[in-house]
Amino acid sequence: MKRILIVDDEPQIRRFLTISLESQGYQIVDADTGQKGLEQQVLEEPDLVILDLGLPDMDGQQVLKELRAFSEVPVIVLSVRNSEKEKVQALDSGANDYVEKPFGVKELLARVRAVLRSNAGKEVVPQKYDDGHLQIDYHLRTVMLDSERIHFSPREYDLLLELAQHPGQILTQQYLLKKLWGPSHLEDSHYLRIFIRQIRNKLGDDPARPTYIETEPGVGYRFIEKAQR
Amino acid sequence: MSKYSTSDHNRWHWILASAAPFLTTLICWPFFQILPTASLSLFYLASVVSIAVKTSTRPALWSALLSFLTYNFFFTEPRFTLFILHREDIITALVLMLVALLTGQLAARLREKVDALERSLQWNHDQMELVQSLSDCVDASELVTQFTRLLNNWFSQHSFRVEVLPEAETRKALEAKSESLLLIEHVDGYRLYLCDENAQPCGLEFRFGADFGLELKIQLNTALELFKLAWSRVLLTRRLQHEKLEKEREQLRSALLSSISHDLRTPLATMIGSVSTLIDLPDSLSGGQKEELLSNTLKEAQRLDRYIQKLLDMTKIGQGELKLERDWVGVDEILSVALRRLQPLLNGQSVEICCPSDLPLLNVHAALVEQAIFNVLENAVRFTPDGKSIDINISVDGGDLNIDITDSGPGIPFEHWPRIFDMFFTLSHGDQQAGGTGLGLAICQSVLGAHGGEAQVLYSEADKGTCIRLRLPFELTHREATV
Repeated sequence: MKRILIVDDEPQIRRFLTISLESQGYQIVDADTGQKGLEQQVLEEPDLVILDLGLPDMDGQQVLKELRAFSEVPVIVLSVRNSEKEKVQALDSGANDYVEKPFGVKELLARVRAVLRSNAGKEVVPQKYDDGHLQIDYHLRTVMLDSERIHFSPREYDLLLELAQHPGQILTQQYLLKKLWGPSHLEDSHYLRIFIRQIRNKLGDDPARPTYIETEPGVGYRFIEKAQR
Repeated sequence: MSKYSTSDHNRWHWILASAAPFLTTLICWPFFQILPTASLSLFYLASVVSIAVKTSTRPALWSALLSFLTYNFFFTEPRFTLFILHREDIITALVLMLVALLTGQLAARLREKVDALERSLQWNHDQMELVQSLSDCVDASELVTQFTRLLNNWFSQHSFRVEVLPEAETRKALEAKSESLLLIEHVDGYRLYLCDENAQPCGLEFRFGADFGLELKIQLNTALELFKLAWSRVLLTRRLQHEKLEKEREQLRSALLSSISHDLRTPLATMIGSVSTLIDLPDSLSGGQKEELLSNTLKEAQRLDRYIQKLLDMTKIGQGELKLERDWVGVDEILSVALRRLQPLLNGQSVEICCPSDLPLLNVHAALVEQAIFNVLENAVRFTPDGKSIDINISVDGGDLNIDITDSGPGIPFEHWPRIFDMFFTLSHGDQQAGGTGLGLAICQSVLGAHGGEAQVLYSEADKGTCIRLRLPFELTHREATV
């Protein structure tokens, strides 16, 4: 059974999260301050942390940094709307994803599943991606759309692979640039834009109503989970 | 004020007056054999009159005396002596002196009048300039700077200077008299103390030396009077502006309060009612009814959330805290976020998008623009009946991106077109459902305005729906790097 630590100062929110997450078979530990949250992390060693950025005793970003000093546990932060900076900062400090407050439980559960899955899947890498329309063979490095082979340049393929292997998870521009172009290209977000556009064109994906790659403006990209489509 | 000077050409006057008799003698020399001696005196007379006209009384007299002596020396018998043999020559000489005296004085007086007139014209012109440049000033510090600059310019030829007095001294002087403007005369100048619209004291000292004549002092006084007038005008305008702003703010505050009480309480009433029904009457409700009550509660809560988001946006805009964090982003990407948020609001309406591929990127604050588009879409959904569509048409026009959002609603009466972007303006007739906050389009307009664009009604008719155009300039076209 997976254990989730909730760090939030609002008792009602902790309660609602506890009820909804317990109903899905997770075990819940909670803390109402950042300090207690860090203590619980050491004592309970949960599989996932849901961290509110607005805490009474210390800044959520600070909690995140201190947490990352000793633990690799996946973290989902709860942030307010319209604050790309805050989100990017949290993701840079090691958060795995974010959910905007107020959120529906469906959205939160999707993020929790995605983050837990990607963390568990570190040992067993799947051999291919297949949703009935799109097939990506990780071994042969081929992409098929509706049984038709589509040509991808190596870098396009690498980008698609990176996204597809983290379904439902936000991948920041910085992360993708660093991973595909190297640390000297962190500012060249237009590279990424051009490649995403080309991949979308090849997959027949409408940017305004994407089926595969979703943009979070100012933050990064997300490969849409099969279940969310 | 050098341009008002009377004595600048004095030396030239004396030189001219001294040279003229000798020049006349040269001219007369060839005529000595032909004309009678007495006639030659007429030449001298002419020369003296013209000197009198050109210069002033004293040089003219000097010229007359010299003329008499040269005439006497060169032409009267016995020649080359200062003796006079004939009596008529003495008369000629005396007449010459008399005429010179009279015409010289007349001419000089005329000249002085003309000079005075010119000076007064110049002075009038300068005053006009002063008044004009002072009336262009909008605040106190600008006024002081402008005034000091002009005075320094005018009196640059004289021992005149303007100095800024220490703040403490100014404050003390003003507090002693409890006035906002104070002019004190000293032996060597004036001191002007004033405190501006923000109660910031400012002191100026106008110092002048002994050469600063009465006329210049009068001019300085006039300038100071004009400055005082301009000063009170600036203060008055400021106060009026301030009062107007206060009044508008007050109106906004009351509008905001009434909007809050209505728009917060309506969804809360629904939520409280629905949930209390679920808790108190669980046994008498069917499964479908329970679900309906729950989904109503959720919808109202989401509406409340959107409303609060708008209030927050509005507060930011109102307090001037709308800081743009521009980044390059595709309009289709912004649109996708807005559509994602719109999805739960759709009630059988469809959204059709027409968007050309390969649009240039926008350099905008994505979250704000998304909110602006979302607000218009939310409106469109509210006014579009079930089964009808909302059309989004994106086009490029020169350096601008146009996003046209068309609903299938009942339309807006023409006279209300310009007002729908005003804060708290809602249409109570013509729409089927109430529920507008009167904030969404105002926020949209402010956000677009901050990006150098605007929102406008393109058309609105009962059978065609309403089309709202959002215009955003591309500003800098994005340089697509070759990868």
